[in-house]
Amino acid sequence: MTARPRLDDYRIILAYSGRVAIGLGAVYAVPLAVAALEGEWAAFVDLSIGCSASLALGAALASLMPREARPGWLHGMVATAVSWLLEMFLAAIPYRLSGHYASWLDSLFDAMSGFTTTGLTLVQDLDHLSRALNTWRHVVTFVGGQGVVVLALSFLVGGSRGGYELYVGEAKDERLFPRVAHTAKAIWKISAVYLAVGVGALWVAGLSIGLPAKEAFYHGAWVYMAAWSTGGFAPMSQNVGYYHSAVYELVCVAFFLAGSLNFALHHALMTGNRRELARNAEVISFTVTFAGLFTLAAWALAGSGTYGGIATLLRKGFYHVISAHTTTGFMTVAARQFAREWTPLALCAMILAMMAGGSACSTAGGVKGMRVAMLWLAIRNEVRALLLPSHASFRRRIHASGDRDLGDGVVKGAALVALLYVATWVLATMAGVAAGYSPMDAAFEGASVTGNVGLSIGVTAPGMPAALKVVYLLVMWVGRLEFMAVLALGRFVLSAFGRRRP
Amino acid sequence: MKSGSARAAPGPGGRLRQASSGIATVLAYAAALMAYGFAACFLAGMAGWAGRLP
Repeated sequence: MTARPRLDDYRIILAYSGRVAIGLGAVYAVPLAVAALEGEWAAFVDLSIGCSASLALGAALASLMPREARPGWLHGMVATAVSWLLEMFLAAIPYRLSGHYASWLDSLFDAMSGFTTTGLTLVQDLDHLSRALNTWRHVVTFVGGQGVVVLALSFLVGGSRGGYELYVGEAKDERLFPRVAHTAKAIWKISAVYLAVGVGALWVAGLSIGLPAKEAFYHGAWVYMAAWSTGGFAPMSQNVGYYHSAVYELVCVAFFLAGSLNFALHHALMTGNRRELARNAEVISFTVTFAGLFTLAAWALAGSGTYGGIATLLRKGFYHVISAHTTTGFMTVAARQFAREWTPLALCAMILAMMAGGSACSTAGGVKGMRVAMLWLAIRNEVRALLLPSHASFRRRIHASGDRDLGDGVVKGAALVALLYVATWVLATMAGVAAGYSPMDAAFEGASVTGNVGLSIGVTAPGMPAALKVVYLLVMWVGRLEFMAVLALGRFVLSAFGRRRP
Repeated sequence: MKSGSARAAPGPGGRLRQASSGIATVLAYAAALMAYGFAACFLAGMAGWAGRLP
């Protein structure tokens, strides 16, 4: 679609976005039930307004679908990019109405941070948020982890045309089943199984540290949703540090690590193929980069005497490096402690970990282990080709839930996305420096927003410049959708001003 | 025995066992990373302590 779009093109895109909005309206049922159960009627009204707006706007847009719709790649990609923006506005309504956010921009920032599973927040007085609104924040991040389009595909779009294009637009390209709707449902089934196990484990961990049963359940559910979706939101302002518990932290590590693994890998493991874990290129890539970066950080932190004891080094150093590498963003220290206590070498290791990220087709962000593995294997293959006789040939393959050819096109695609991530990080860093923050602070926070991590060195706060909030919000969106859907939207907007199609 | 014959789909009990086994495998991987973390902390702690000796 290089020529000017037709009216039907707009209608298809808006109709798909409408179906995703209806999905969001249905998800509002969870915090509404909590509000009714807890008698939080002010929150109930705020959430009802958000729910009604989502359902009404979604139904209106969905009705625009032309009868003879022929959705193509660009429709799917553009609809995904538009859907994420629309969802941000619709999810932010109860935030703004709650009075816990200073402006609409802060509410939108939090909604985008939730959907993209970043976890940076501009909420004020977090410790006194209603249970219903806390539930909404964590449900938003849980849904964002699986993908808002995956949600719609599972229940609303189904097997209709354009489903696969929407799915790929959301940076998920693994097909567990031939039908994309079945794949989307399988993703939700895997998440549901882990939800039951994870909430149960964190509930018991909460009870073990003395939380009352109901409180332990709510905290378990909220923290689990943020952990599995590698989101990083927490119900208390001290984040996971609030619990002061090594057991709680270890349980969190297990579930955010699980969330950062590819859904195809989970599917293989849950259908009896346990050997896949040891053979999977993404797992090997993650293990190697994590081991290297953590060794570097531990050496820097131990050498500087930041954390004296081995147990403290494990709870602060290991916890934050794995939280960064899985792009979760859970913290057990105050944001400014990174700037004041961590050495530049340890911070560099954290920045690299945040940029590398978790697995493709998972809830994690960053460049992704699959691309790191592809680029490493491509370099290795090039060196191998140089050393072999000119007539010799060898297979260029990568194993990740099956063998895949590692052709030039695949390597080029991986290199392009990695390059775009680095370019976006440089832009986010420059925006931070331009706003008056130190280069190290800006680089750390820039990596956190680009990789959808959520760890903060203290830049993200309600008082930060509005322009920087807008830049970070857009970077989170672009990083989560891995550029292609957003670039397609840009192309679509430009083509709207081009020549009319013959 | 025919080669390449499809495996029969497991029943509900079998699926539960497979899902539990899948989760246990992931938890074992998490435990292995934590064990590596502990070893690295131990070595880094010792090296750091030795480096700060007068």
